[in-house]
Amino acid sequence: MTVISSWQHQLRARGTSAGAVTAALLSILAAWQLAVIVGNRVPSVTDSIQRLITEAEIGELWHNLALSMNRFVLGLAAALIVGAVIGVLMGLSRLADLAFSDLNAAALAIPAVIWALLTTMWFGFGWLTPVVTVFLSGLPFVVVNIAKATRAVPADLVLMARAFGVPRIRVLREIVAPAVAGSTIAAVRFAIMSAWNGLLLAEWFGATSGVGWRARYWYDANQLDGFLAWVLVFILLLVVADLLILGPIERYATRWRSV
Amino acid sequence: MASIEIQTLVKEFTDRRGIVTRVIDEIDLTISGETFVSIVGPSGSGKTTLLNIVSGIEPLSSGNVRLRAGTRDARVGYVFQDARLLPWRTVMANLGFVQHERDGWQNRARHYLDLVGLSHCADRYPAQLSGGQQQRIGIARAFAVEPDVLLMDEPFSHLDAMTSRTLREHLERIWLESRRTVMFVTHDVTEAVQLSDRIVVLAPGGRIHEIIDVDLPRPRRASDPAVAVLQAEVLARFEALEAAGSAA
Repeated sequence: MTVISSWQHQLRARGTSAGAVTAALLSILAAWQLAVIVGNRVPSVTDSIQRLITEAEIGELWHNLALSMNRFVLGLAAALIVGAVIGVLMGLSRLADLAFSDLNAAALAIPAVIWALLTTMWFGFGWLTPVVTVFLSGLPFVVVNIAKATRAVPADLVLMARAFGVPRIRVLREIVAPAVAGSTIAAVRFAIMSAWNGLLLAEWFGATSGVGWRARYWYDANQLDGFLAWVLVFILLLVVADLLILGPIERYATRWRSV
Repeated sequence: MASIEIQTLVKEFTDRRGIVTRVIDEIDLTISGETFVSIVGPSGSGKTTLLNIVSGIEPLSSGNVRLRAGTRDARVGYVFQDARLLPWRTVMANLGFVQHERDGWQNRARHYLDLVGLSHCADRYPAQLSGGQQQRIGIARAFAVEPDVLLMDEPFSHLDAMTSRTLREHLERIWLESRRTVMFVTHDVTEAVQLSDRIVVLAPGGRIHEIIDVDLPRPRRASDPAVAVLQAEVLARFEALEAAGSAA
C-alpha cells in the first residue's frame, strides 16, 4: 500500500512538472506568435526553425556548437576548480575570507559583457577570449556558493563522528559532501548561466567562430530569422542543461529534505 | 575488562584578555569493569567538558586520560544530548556510519533497533521520526558499535518526562544485557540513582565533591521505596552543594 501510494505520489509529481513545462512552452510560443502578428520584422517560429535546419544541413550548426561547447567546458572547468579552492579557503579561514570576499563581491557586480569586452581587448580574436570570459563570468558564483557551503558543514555531526572514531575519509564522504551538495549544485547552476552569457558575448565581440559569432553573422547580415535561430539554440542548451541534467542531480542530492 | 582512568586532569580556558578559567580541577577517577557511573553536579561544574575530554573531542590542559580494554585502546560509543543523526541517511545507514567492523554490523544494528523498539523504522529518515525516537536511535547507534566504554551526555534532557522515563527503562534493560563500562553525565538526580552503581558529584569549579555508591537491586524503578529514599538523600546533598556554591 505504501509502495503504491509512493508511486502515485511520484507519478502525480512528474505529471505536474511535465504540465508546467508544457504550459511554459505554450506561453512562450504564444507570446512569440503575438509578436509576429503585432510586431515589425519579427520572424515566425517556423522561419527560425527552418533556418536552423538549413544551418545544420550546411554544417554550420554542429561545427559552431562544438567549438562553443569546447570553450565553455574549458572555461567552466577552470572556474569550478579555482572557485572551489578559493571558496573552501574562504569557508575555513577568516583571513582568506577577509582577503577575497570584497574582491569577489566586486567581481559578482561586473556584468558578463564587461568581461567579454575586456578579454577581447586583452587577447584579441581567438580561443582564449571566450575561454577566459567564461572563466571570469562563472568564477565569482562558484566562490560565493562554495564558501557558503563550507561554512554550512554541521560541526556537531563532525564531532559525533570524531567521538566514534570514524575515519576522516568517511567523514568527508558522508558528512561534508552531502552537507555541501546543495550549495555546490547551486554554484554550478549560477556559474553555468553566467558563463554561458559570457561565452555568447565573447564570441560576439572577439571570435571568428562559435554560437555567438554565428548569431552576430546573421545580425550583421540583417537576417533576423538566422539571428533568432541561433539565440534559440543558445536558450535551448541552457534550459536543457538546467532541466534535464542539473535539476535531477539537485533533486537526487537533496532528496532527504523532501521525505 | 574495560576501564576509564583519569589522572590529575586539569582543563583551563584562556579568554582574549589572557584570563585563565579552570573548569576541571585535578580530577582523579577510575571507572572499571561492568560499572555504570553517573557524573552529577550543578551548572558550570564541568560535567560535559569532562566527558568531551574523555571521548577525545576536547583537548586537556594537563593530566592523563586513558580508555583501555585489556591491552588495547577501548572502543567508544557516545550518546549526545541531541541525537546527532545524519539527516540525509536512513536510520540503518546512520547506524552503519559509525561501525568500525563492517562485517555483520547489520545484524548488530537490527538487534539494538529491536531493543529500543524501532526495528520497523530502519528505512526511515531522521526527519520522519519524533525527538524521542531519534534519541532511541542514538542509543541504539552507541550500543551497536559494541563499545567497551559508553559515554552519555544528558541524553534525556531534551525530552518530556514520560519519554525520558521510558528511555531510562530501555537504557537500563540494554545495559543489563550488554554490561558496558558507562560514564553518564546528568543533572537529574532521579536518573542518576535509578541507573547508576556509583554517583560522582562534581562541585562548581570542576572538582570531585563526593562519590556515592548505589547498592540497590536492578532493575530499578523511580517509584521503588529504596530508590526514592536514596534519591532524597542525594538530592539533599546536591542542594546543599548548590547552596554553598551560590553563597560563595
